[in-house]
Amino acid sequence: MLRQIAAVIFLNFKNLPKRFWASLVIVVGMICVVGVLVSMLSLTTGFVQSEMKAGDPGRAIVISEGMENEGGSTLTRDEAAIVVDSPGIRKGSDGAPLAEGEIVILTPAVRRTGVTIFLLTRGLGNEGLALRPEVKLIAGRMFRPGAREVIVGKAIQGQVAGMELGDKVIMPDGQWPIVGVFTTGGDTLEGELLADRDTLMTATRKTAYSSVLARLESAPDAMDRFKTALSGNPVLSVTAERHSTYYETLAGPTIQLFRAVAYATGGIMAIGAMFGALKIMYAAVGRRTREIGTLRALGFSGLPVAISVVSECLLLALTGALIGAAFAWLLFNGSQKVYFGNIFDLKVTPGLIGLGILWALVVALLGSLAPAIRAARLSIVDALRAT
Amino acid sequence: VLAALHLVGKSLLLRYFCGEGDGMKYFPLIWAALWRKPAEFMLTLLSVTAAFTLFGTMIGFDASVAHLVQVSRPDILYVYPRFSSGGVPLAYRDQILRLPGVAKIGIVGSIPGAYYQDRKNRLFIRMIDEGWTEIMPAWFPITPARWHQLQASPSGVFISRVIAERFHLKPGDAFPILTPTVSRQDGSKFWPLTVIGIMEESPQSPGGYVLGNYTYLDESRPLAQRGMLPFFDVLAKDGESGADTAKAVDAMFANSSVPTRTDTDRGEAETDAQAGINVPFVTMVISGAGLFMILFLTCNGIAESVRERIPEFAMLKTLGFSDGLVMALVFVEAAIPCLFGAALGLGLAAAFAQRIPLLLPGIYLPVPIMPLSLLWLAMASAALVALSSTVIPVWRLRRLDVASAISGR
Repeated sequence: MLRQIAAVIFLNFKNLPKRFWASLVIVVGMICVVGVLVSMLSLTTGFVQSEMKAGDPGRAIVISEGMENEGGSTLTRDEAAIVVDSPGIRKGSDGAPLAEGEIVILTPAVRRTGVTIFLLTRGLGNEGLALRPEVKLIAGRMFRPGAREVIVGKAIQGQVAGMELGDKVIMPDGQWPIVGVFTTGGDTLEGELLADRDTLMTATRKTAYSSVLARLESAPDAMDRFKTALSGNPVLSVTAERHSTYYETLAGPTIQLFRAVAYATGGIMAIGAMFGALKIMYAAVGRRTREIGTLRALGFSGLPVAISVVSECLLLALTGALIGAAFAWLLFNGSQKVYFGNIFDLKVTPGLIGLGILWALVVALLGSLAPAIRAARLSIVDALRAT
Repeated sequence: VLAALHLVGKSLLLRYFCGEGDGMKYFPLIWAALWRKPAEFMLTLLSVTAAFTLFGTMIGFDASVAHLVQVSRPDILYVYPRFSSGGVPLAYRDQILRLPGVAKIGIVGSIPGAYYQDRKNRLFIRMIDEGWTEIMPAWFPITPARWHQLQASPSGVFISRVIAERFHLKPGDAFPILTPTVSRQDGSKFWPLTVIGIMEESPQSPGGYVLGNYTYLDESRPLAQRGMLPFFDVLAKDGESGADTAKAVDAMFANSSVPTRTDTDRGEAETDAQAGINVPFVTMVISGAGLFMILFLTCNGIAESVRERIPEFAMLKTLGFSDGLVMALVFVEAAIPCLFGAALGLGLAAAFAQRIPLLLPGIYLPVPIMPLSLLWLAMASAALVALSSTVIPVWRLRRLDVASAISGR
């Protein structure tokens, strides 16, 4: 039986060039379907990676209760002091807890395209870099405590002009020089500016922090103890979350939107491609009627014939899917995208390519099953008489 | 089903070609060609329909984003603090009002972090003044009578129908509002508001809105916060000078303690349209990919149909059908599934568009709109696809050697 299947498939593939143009329809269809699907999903993957990388589960972030993000949240110095002294926070080498208040302010900037973008400027305290070891300088130097200067994330430079070393950024109390450029290995922080917290607070006349960031103890219950201590304190009206959970919640709606758009467009195209494949495969079976009749007369059973039809369609779909994914990878992988205040790179991952291929194969299967069954059921006598 | 479609299609086409006068006599030829392989015809039609469903949704979405920019107001300005810290001082009002391009200025204050009953029910309560009521009638149904009513009851608020239904409120009901932190001079977090009326919805505020008195807000706030606003609404004298007036406002406060960032409503709409996904590009590429996909399908279909009927075309030419006429016949044969599919696809897209808000609850996405121009664009694209698919077969037919073709060689 297996030899029969192999023989029919081989024969069929050998004859494929004769149906080159018809076969091309399926290949092109799959290029379009997979190209669109993978390109759209690269947006999701890129965004997810950039947000998730920023959210280290070993850190906790505390914001005022009822707020969705740091932007609207305010924690007074007194509140922050209580949070910092709570249990569950790791101690530094000097015995002080590895936690401190941070402040974020929206900083409008004009993109090269002329569109305004609101970047976050984040004020870090003395522990800032110990808390965020992923921040690595790639040019210039770190901002100094007390000095009116900023360092910029690498990703911003691609989008906003005048963000090079030595340029100046308009801040609430005048222009601050850029003294350094940093990378975080591609997370969302790379689209932010960093400065000294207290200097930034003076400049913005703010007296409260936006959030407290804390490094948790390695014990698995550290987060629970930290959370319980905060919620049990009647003076505080704050919520604490793992940094990873925080970014997950924040990014959730956007990711949901990107996914919905990608699957909706990819899905509608797939339906179109499926009908196209059905048409082509029915026509192919029609053309092969005499061949199939002969095979059946020679003693081949219906199953190898049906399998040869399906495998033809799968092979064509696989070819198209690979080309489509390659297009998506060449055009979009690593290219920078700005989505409102977020700057991130599009990512075409192996997993995404796998998904695209799977998607195409399912479409091909649906598009070839009915023609395959028809091929298997052809009456030998009628088939042999076909012209 | 196929038989029914056959009948309906036939009568539709008959009517169309009767209107064309002597086009009628060619009708059976085309009909026979289309119905030679009904299953394949239907599958092509369905494939084209899917491609145009995508086309309609995409271009409709693009149109909708463009529409939002179009209906935005170039003469309404928003004055924000350049850096989100504390707000803009009320004292700026008179200075802004003195600028030559400014006609009116309105105040919108808010109770910071306000919520009703549960922290999840956060509300942006607009605490307004008379200037605001003079600028906003185009967007909010605030009449002078309603404004007087509001002034007469300091802690009164108007709520929109959506809010009234959401919280089961009617005029006269208490509407107690809480804040997460102390928000009043008396040290409390509690605002005893009362509903004085229910108003119609505003396109500016899809989730409903609440309007209250600015004076009441300001007099109740802690002293330190008094006289600070989240933003001003400004009406420029005309739309053309709106952007310049915005610049003038920012220039005036560039070196003050609170620098401002002013944008026109139009400018904000444009930024919103461009700040996320590059909508025109993405929609064009996706709909283009769909069309490209069906182009190959129809191209292959018509080429095969012509190849299989070479003797038939040879016969037509022998009978004296001109090249042009033969070309037209092939084109119409290709165009029918394309145009039908395009019309069906747009219909599906329109039905689909209505469901998008239901499919994506909690996510704001402009609903695709289907202006008439979209229909023409789709039809033109469908005709173009049909035309491109007939180029090769038609070229082949022109070079047809009638004698050998008719003898089946």
